[in-house]
Amino acid sequence: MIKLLLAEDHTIVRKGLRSLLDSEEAIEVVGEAEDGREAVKKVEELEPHVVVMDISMPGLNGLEATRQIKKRFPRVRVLILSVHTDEEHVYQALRAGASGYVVKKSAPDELFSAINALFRGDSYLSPAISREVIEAYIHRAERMPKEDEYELLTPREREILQLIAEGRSTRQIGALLHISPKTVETHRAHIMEKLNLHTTAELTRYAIHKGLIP
Amino acid sequence: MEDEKKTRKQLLNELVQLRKRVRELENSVQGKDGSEEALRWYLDTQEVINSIMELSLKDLSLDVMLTQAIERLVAIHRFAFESMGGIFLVDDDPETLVLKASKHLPSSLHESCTKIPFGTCVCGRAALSREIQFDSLISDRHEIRYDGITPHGHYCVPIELRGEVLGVLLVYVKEGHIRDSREEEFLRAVSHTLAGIIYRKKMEETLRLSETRLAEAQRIAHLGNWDWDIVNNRLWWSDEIYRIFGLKPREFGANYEAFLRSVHPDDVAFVEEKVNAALRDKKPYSVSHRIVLPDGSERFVHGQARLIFNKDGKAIRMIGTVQDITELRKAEEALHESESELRHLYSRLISAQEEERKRISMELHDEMGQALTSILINLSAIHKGMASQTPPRVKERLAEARLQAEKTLDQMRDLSLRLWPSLLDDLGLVPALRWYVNGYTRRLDIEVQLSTVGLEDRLSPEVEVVLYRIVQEALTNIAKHAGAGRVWIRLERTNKGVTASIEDDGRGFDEKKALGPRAAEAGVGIMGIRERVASLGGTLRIESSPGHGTRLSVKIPL
Repeated sequence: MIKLLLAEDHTIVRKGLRSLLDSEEAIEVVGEAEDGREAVKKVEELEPHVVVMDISMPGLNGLEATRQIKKRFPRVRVLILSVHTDEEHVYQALRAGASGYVVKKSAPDELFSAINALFRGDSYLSPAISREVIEAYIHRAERMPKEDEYELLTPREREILQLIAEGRSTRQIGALLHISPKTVETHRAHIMEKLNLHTTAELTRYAIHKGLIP
Repeated sequence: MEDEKKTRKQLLNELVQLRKRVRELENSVQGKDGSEEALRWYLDTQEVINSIMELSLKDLSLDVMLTQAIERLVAIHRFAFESMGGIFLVDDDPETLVLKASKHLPSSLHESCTKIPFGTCVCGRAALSREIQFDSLISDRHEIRYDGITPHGHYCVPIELRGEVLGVLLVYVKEGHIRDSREEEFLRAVSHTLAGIIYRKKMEETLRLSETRLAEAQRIAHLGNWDWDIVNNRLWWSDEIYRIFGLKPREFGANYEAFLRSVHPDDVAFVEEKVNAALRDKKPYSVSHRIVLPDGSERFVHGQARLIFNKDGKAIRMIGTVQDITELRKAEEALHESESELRHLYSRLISAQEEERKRISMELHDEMGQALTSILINLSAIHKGMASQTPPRVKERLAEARLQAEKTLDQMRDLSLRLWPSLLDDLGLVPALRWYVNGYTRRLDIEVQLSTVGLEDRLSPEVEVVLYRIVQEALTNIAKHAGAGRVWIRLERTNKGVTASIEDDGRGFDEKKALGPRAAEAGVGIMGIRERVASLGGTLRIESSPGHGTRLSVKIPL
């Protein structure tokens, strides 16, 4: 028997889910919570195996509650149940320690298999999301090879890199671009950080290598 | 007739020659007692010249003075002058004589000789040649004739000073009178005296006119000038300053301390410091302060001054102006007030709009969305619990209802997110931005480089939403106008606050001509952003130049 806690702030949805879950013999809903704080408290009291957690909840939201539950009760498995299908929500949920993510509209079909998977120690992602997450990953991956560090520099940073490499002082660069020396310093720091370089000489060598200066 | 005229002329000529001879004889006789005669001549003529000079000391207008001068001149009995004469002056028109004063001249002459060009008639010839012109009778040179002209001769004496012809002195003599060198000498002396007087009078009038104009200008501008003799601590004020300060010259102590007594008590120390600084640093003085009028009312003035030093470099005088800027200040304040009110209203409008959007979005998500979710769940439960013998038609209808509910839920979620990025509440700024940026890149094929530094912890909701809207607005503008292929966004949390910069590689615009069509379109959005940043105590800056992209940077203190 899987002991389950249901954390969902909307009564009507919670009731719908409850009736859905009650019909399943292998699952026992040991408690309900209306917000994140109550969910954490009830986990401590009721020691469920799995928590089905909504994200948007008043007070403590679902992600924060998940983080706290995983910190104090690492063995408890959290299944996020959300209307959101985007990569960011999924990513943040997984980062918070959730082991599964089910889109609400697919709940009736997927909820049992997801709960079962989590109880067994597996992870579960709604097929709808898996598709979206993978697409995003592919999109990013396609862009990756083009990206060398130079691409990270903004046009203004490239302009300043060239002026530094040409041997101009911070003051001269500021005067040339009508910006304060302090702003030039900030740009220089960003350039060094992006290129992972640490001295003006390294910047100059890099500029020569890139063909910015002869 | 012709013959008669000629005869008359010949006769007159003969008469003149005769008289000349008589004069010569008289002179040779008088020569024996010459010294006494010369002294009397000197005294008589000097008396006339003195009386003319006296006139110049009286407070008379130039015209009156000239009239009295010609009266005194023609009244002299020593010479054979008819008691008729006049004075012409060169007035506004160059090279033209204007009759200014006359004695016993016929009224018809006044009409004919009002204006005489240089070179015309005998007087005009005197002005042009700068030499005394004498005619013993009305000759051919007397081009101007007037009704009732009586036979006469005359001296026309140019009045000149430093090579400039100021006018002509005209004195009538009896017809047939002989030119006399002593008369000429006397008339020349009178003419010199008149020249000096006319010059001085004209100067005085010019000065008076410019003083009147200055006073008028000062009254219009509510600006007065002052002159402080530092060594003797004497302060001179123009009339307008007295008017501004509501004082009468008698009530004013006319020194620095008296001025300070008019300054508003709260501003005295400040004004004194400014004056001392000017004296110490030998720099111009410029200060705005309040003054208190005798009736207790307050006014704002702006004073400006410079110092005058002696040859040792010591400040001995301070000369300056003071302007009543009360109305200007009031208008400025009113403008400033209405401007800040407008800004306040605008930022209230924006936050009200934001709140409304958020409320509707939440309602969509919470109420409708959850209701739909629950319908979906129930439909699924029904579907599951259906007996196998349920007619396929019912099953199909049920599946269709589920599909429709799902679609509606999706649409509602999109609408809700467009109104309010709930990711901001749930996940925080950085994931929300990443989500927005990814969608933006997918939709528009504009690469966005998002980098964040030190933003692991959540910021306050107000700051997060403003930063999110800034990025959103900037990216929208870039998509609409910039024609950019890449955008770099950098958000950094420092110990002072948060900075955000959004830079693109698009076509940019000319900052100096920033009132172009792009600014007009982008303006409202940017104005909104600017207000929201300002309401958090931050600053927004936009830099751009054609062909060099655009950089928007924001600093918000935390």
